[in-house]
Amino acid sequence: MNVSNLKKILLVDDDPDLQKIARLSLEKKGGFTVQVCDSGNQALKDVTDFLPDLIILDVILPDMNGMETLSELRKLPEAAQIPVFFLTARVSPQETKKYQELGAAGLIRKPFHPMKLSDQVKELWEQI
Amino acid sequence: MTEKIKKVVIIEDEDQLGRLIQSYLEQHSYRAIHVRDGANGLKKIREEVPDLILMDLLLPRVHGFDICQAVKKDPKLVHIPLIVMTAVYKTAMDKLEAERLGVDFFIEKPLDFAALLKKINKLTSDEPVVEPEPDSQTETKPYDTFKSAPETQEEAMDEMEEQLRELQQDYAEQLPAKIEEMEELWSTIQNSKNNYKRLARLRKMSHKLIGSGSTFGFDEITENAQQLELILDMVIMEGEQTLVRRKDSIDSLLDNLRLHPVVTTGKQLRRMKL
Repeated sequence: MNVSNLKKILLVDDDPDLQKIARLSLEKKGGFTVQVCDSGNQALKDVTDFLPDLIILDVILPDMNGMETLSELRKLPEAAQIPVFFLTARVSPQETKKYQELGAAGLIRKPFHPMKLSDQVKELWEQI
Repeated sequence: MTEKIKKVVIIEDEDQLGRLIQSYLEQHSYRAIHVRDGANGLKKIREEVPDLILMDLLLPRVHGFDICQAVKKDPKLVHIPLIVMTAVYKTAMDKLEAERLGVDFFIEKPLDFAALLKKINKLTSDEPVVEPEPDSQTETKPYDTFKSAPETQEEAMDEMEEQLRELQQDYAEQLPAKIEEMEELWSTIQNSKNNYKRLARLRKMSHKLIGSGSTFGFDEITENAQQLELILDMVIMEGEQTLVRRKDSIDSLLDNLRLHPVVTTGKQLRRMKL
């Protein structure tokens, strides 16, 4: 997909430190508009208000995990087609395969480099 | 006649700082309400209709700029003075955005509490505000401290690096408390039975360090946390005997975390590798 179509990102991660650094990186270097939330349930509410172009989703979340959140997002008409990238330290071959089977469009590994995060996002977006 | 007590809503996700500001304002006869994220902040603003809003910009859930916008669009809230405080949004572009959104005053962290109080007193005063002469030396204008906008891509990246280092510093300052919490949890586990939930919690805390350590420039934190998570996975799957067998390894890894220079000093010790 053309990166010019990527403007708004919903970031779902419950770690406040990572929220801040990821947001700074995506906004300042990537030029994206970023909204942050800290749980799967909050993501389901925010996605209908914010209507992001992309959702970046942590796997370990306090309520529903990232995979459950993705399944629930796909039930919402407003979110069913929004690409989702997982952002996670859980990247074994089995886990990666699971993310793909669930329909994730990309995977960003934690820990990430804050100066490279937005470039990674753009590269993955262009591969969709 | 009793003077009305002025109400301030403070939105600050750094708990210690938020409570410090709250306490400081209450000592100076304000009623101060502290919330820790943007969504609850907006809710509290609408409930309380305070005399002033004091907030960080980089907030969980709803960004400070989005709160500014919501407040200035609401006829019931538009009159409320807005002070933003920030460690990272300090460039001329950020200042312009803040001005555009109706922010009344912009203060950099670390805070000058006396200057902040003076500004809050002025913005919540019932007296008409008389602006000082432009050449007055009594206080700086809200945006005077900002650098001019970067002229080159290189300058823009230099600014971002500076902002990232400040976030790194914040992370470093909070790390000792996180490691201490993990050690206390581990101590409880060793002296208790039925530890599944505690072990799961310790594993989750390790997992978070994996994700954050290297991101903030501390590779050894991630490396030790990765090993710790692996061992905890085994203990959780295999049970008490594995816990006994792996006790020394867990002790050692927690020691490595505790003795890491950034944890022992809580300070940024090296420039973030960028």
